Amino acid sequence: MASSELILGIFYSDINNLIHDSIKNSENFSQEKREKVRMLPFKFLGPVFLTSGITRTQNWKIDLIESSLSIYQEQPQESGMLQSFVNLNSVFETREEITNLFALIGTPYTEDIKVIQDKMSGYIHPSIEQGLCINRKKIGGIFREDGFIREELNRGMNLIHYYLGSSRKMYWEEQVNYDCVGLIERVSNKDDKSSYLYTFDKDDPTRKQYLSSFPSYYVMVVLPDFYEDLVKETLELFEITRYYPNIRFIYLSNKMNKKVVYFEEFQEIKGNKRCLGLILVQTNESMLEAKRISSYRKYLRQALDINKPIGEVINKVNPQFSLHEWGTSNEGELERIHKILDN
Amino acid sequence: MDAKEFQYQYPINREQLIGFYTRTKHRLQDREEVEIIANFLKHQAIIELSIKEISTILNFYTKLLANDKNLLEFALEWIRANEIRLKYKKYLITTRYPENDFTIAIDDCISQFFLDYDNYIRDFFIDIKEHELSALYNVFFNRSDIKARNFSDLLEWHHDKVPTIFEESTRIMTNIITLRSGLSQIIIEDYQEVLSSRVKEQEAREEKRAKTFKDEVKEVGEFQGLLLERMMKSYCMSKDKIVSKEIENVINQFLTSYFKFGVFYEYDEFKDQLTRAFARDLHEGLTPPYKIKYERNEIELEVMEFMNEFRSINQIKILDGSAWKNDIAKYLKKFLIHFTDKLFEPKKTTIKKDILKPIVQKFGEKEEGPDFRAIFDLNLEIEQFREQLEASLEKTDYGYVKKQSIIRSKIQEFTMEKRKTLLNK
Repeated sequence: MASSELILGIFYSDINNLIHDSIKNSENFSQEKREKVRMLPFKFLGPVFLTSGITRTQNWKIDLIESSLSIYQEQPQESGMLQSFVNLNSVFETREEITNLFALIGTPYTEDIKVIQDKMSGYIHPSIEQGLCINRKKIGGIFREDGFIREELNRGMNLIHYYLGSSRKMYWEEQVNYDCVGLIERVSNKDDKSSYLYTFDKDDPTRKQYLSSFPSYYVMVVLPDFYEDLVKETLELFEITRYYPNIRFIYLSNKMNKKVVYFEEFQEIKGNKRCLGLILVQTNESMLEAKRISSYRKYLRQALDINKPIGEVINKVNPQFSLHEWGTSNEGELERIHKILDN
Repeated sequence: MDAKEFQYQYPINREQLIGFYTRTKHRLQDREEVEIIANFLKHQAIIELSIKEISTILNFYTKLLANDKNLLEFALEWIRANEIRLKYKKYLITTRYPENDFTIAIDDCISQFFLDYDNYIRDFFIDIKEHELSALYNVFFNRSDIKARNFSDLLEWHHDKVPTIFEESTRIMTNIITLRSGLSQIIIEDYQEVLSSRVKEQEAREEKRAKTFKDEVKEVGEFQGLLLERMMKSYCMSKDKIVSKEIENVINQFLTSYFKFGVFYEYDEFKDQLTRAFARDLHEGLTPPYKIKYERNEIELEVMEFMNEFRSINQIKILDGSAWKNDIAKYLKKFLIHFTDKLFEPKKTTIKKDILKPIVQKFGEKEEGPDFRAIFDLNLEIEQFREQLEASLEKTDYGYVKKQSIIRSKIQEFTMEKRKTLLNK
């Protein structure tokens, strides 16, 4: 794949939270810029709200954040421009330690992300851990971990780069049905932005039954805005200012192999952007009419294209939702959600 | 991927293989099981080792097999490994790694093919050490290395590379390092083989292309007027007037035998050949009385003078075959019509004067002969106009073909305009 406009960096955070990196075309990065880039994994993986907002179930982790990139209207279209931006995370957990392998990928193609994710978590990350373990055992004190990790990261980065550009395939995971437990509407223009959550009524017992299936309402409503801003900041750091990001997917999972998907569609007309996103969960016994992501996407797309009122959207995605609008724009509103909906 | 999925992905004909094994067993009733299985494997023609070498390896891994596995199962896995190798090699042949990077080749092949295999094969053993597995991969997926050194040396070599690590009583999984240790060298050698065969293929292709090109040049290097000869023969016999369309076909065939579309020719490179060939084929077609009447040299001279005249009007140096064909065809047609018209009449001293008359008359020729001065002036003007055109096009981004095409059409326009002016004078 041509690397004319490409962001590719992988970061390994060891047990001491020391970040090792390998970034494509980063030879001319200043020390200050490299430090800023190194901070990105912390920002993406360890936002404060993610740990403080989860009270019931622990160990939820971000697996994937995917954003589409739109070009600002005044900018000319060119071939080879970035189209998607993906953050992938692999977690390796033993009794004593947790390490992360994190990748930032910006490419002109819609990548087959599953292939890359599988390589990261099934090959690159384990090979670092296993290599470290064997070398510590064999060589002991004189083993230079830094050099070894850098070598493995370069190796991993080259492998990921080789896989970039593969066409996206359909996987059985995408055929799984999900229950919708929340709808988030985000509206923004040049000067202002606001967002709202729609879900079950606070007294609806179904809400409580689903609480263990996702981190918390508080976390889920903060995620899209937080990551959209972070992707924008990342692009600016890589001196790419022609685009603005739109969150497409956020995948989370926990130790019990529970999976949560937040996915979003957007419409932008003359600087006014309206995003509709759904919080989808997998459960063993569905209490709702579970549907595939493709069906939900169809509803959202139709709703945005003809600017349907929110009541009609709710009726389509989950008629059990109440029409009560939970503001999520300031700390007070978020606290209210946390207190009322997360308990 | 579980065991069943894996077996489905890399199938072997288990029933047939067990049938072969049973026959081997019947044949070698008095031998030990290890020897029988070694014979069975040897006869599958997939292993280049001797029966003794195979027996050594079987004996070693028998001790490590899990309780629910037996030696025959292990032998069948050896055969399955061969299937995997075939698929892996097929994949490697079709894959191109950036800058032929061996490290990417190793990582890609291990993660694509052997990671699942590692999960699958570990279930066959109990308490197998990492270096024993690493050596097993070497045995299963390589044929040359194991022959080069004996099995105990191989085990020793792997022992130094991949330790089996325990933390307290828990075994640490180091399967990727084991796979790399067992397979890296094999993948490198296989990919080197693929690369060298690609180079050989490329060389063969280039050689073939060069040969084809030579043949093509040779093929287009001659004018062949087959229809011309035939037409003249039948004309001499029947004396029926030849229709214009037939003449056009004859000339078209004659010119097409040499000029190819998209190939560029310089006038000087084909002029003599065209003249000679046209005169030769025309003369060949004449029946004896007319052959005596018009000698070949005489016709050749007439054609040559005619071509010189054509050249004085069309001075473009290089044109594509199709363009030359179009330009020359109408002049050769006129020549041929005139020649056939006069063939049965009493011979005049020269054909050229009669043929050229209508052409040069356009330039205001007096009754006595052409006004060569006017033609010379016109040619000079055309040449000057061409130089100006070439200079103006030099600054543009047009390619060579486009430039030549523009020059040609502009000069034609210019020539026509000038001719009109001359005629009006």
